[in-house]
Amino acid sequence: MNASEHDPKSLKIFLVLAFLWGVFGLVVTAHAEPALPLSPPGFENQAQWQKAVQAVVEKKDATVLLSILQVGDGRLDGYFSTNYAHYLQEIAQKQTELFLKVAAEHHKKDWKAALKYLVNESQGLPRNLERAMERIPKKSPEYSHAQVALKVARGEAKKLGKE
Amino acid sequence: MPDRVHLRVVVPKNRNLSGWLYVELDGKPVTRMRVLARGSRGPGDTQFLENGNTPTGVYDGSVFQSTQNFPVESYGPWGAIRLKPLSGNAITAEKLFGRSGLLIHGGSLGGPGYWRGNGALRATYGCLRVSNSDMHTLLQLLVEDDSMGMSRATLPAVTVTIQD
Repeated sequence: MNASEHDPKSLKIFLVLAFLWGVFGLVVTAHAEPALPLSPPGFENQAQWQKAVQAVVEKKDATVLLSILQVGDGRLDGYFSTNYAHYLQEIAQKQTELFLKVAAEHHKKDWKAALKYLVNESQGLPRNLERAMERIPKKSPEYSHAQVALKVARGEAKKLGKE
Repeated sequence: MPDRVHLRVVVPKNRNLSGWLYVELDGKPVTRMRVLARGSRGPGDTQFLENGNTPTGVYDGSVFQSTQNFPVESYGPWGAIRLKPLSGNAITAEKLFGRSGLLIHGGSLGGPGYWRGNGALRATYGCLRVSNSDMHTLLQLLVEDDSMGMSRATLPAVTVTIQD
């Protein structure tokens, strides 16, 4: 037989083998272990996340704070929530006015949710945060937001552990 | 280092209460420790909700997670064990309800005003929490180098079963 001619039987075997190889490949890919990200969505790693928090705490960077608050819009669970709550708490305690201003301006719902997170992780309303919020001047634009946030946070704290 | 480890977690239906984590090395029971599987979604059955109670079922726990860069009050200094769902409510919670990021870890205990009481294990966002000293004990049982600075540790084959 001329080498350039195709043997229909060999071709069939080749196609069957190719098909099986393809199926095998799909099965292997489907079972491949996806890497578990260690940092919140939008942040490449834990160090970057901490750097962002530092930028807000030390340099009062409102843009970075907004990007952090946007993380809370997405799905967070388990240790993602825990870390998020921890850093948010740090920001809220050290830069309370900035926290309230940015969160209130960009998405009112966000900071209520943020405070709920804080209350849950702290298992209560952190007293120094409460005091910082109470210190916000009555005439400041953040005052009313702070009052609403405090009400939500206090209500959330009361719910903890209740059947 | 043991070849096979089974961490059998038995928790009450009322997750406000602590349960027990039984450690079995190569089929032999070794010790038990207090554990809390209470999430932060409030009371009731919240295992399919984001940040809810830890779902029951079987998990693979063979991957160690360093907590060196994590807040120490939330995790403690002794690292954590990642929980990879294998079956039961655990896998349903992951595949259908998108639950993720669950660990076994330590962390600071509740203060005087804490709703579970002073010195009690604190609720999490779905992880299992043991005390820091118990997490250290667990690590000592599972690995040879249990120094706090380690970023990675090879764990034996660890199966975690949670039942209520």
